[in-house]
Amino acid sequence: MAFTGHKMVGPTGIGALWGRTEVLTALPPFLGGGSMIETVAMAGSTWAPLPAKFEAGTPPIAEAIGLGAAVDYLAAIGMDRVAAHEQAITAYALERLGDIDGLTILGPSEPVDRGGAISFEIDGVHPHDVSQVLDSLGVAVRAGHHCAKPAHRRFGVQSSTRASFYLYTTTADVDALVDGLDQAKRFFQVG
Amino acid sequence: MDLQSLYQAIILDHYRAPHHAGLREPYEAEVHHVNPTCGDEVTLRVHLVDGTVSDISYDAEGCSISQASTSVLADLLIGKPVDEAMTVHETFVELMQGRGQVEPDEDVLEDGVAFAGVAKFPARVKCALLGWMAWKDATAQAVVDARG
Repeated sequence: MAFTGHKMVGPTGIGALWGRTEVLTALPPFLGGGSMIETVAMAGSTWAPLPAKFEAGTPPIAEAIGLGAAVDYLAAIGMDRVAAHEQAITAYALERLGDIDGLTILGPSEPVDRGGAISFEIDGVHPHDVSQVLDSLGVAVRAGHHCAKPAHRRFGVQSSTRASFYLYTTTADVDALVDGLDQAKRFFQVG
Repeated sequence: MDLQSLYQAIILDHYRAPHHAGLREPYEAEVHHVNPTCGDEVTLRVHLVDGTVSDISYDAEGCSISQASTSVLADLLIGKPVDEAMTVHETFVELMQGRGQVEPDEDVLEDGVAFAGVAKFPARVKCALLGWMAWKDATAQAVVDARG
């Protein structure tokens, strides 16, 4: 399992890899550098034990401290509460977005088998134009392929708009998104 | 950011009813250009007769800016000698890369002046240039082929 710091209120440039000891022990190092060796000889080298084997060179010190603070912060809130909020806000957003004429949600329209992000498209308004209107209203979304072009082909759409929710997203934020989408439709005279 | 300065009425008109759209015969060169950051795509054909742009036909998928600018391109360049069309092309590129500081010349660019506001939105400049870069590429190929 791997995760990144900047998607859990932490800094960019750092993340974590979790794996079973026997698997990680069998894996060769992917980088050479300081702190990852045990002995070095002209004929061959041996590697430091886990996890140092995979942490060659100067570590991202400030990032590690920041990620630690993020972990403490989330643990203090409680990951079960974070998950419950994410599920509730996603359910609310699915309901509100589902009421917009001409809007198609990609993937499940119920809050099952999905995380706190919803991709959608609006008939007649390109995602880049949708996001431009939302941006002018202070609503930040992502437009394009979201690193998943084959998935867009699967759904038969050229690209999509994606709204992401997290522990700080409120129902008022979702309402602002829905209002913005209504404005985008009006601006481009659709529906 | 001022939406009205980005989305001029002329742009929205061209977006809703693009001019010269569709792929036609005959043509000497066809190119396919994409904007990987947003997924916009255009297939564009150029037909030259005696050094003049006789037809520009295209199949485009993308945002209002890229669709409208390709429509304006076809309007402006069809019927022009290649040399003159290249000059118009240069003028349009200069406008788009001018960060909103370039005063557009309506005598040269006609409806193209509506894109002056797009130059203030760095993320959208590539949208406006997609069809124009495709046209230059296709025309260069057609001219080289004609020279044999």
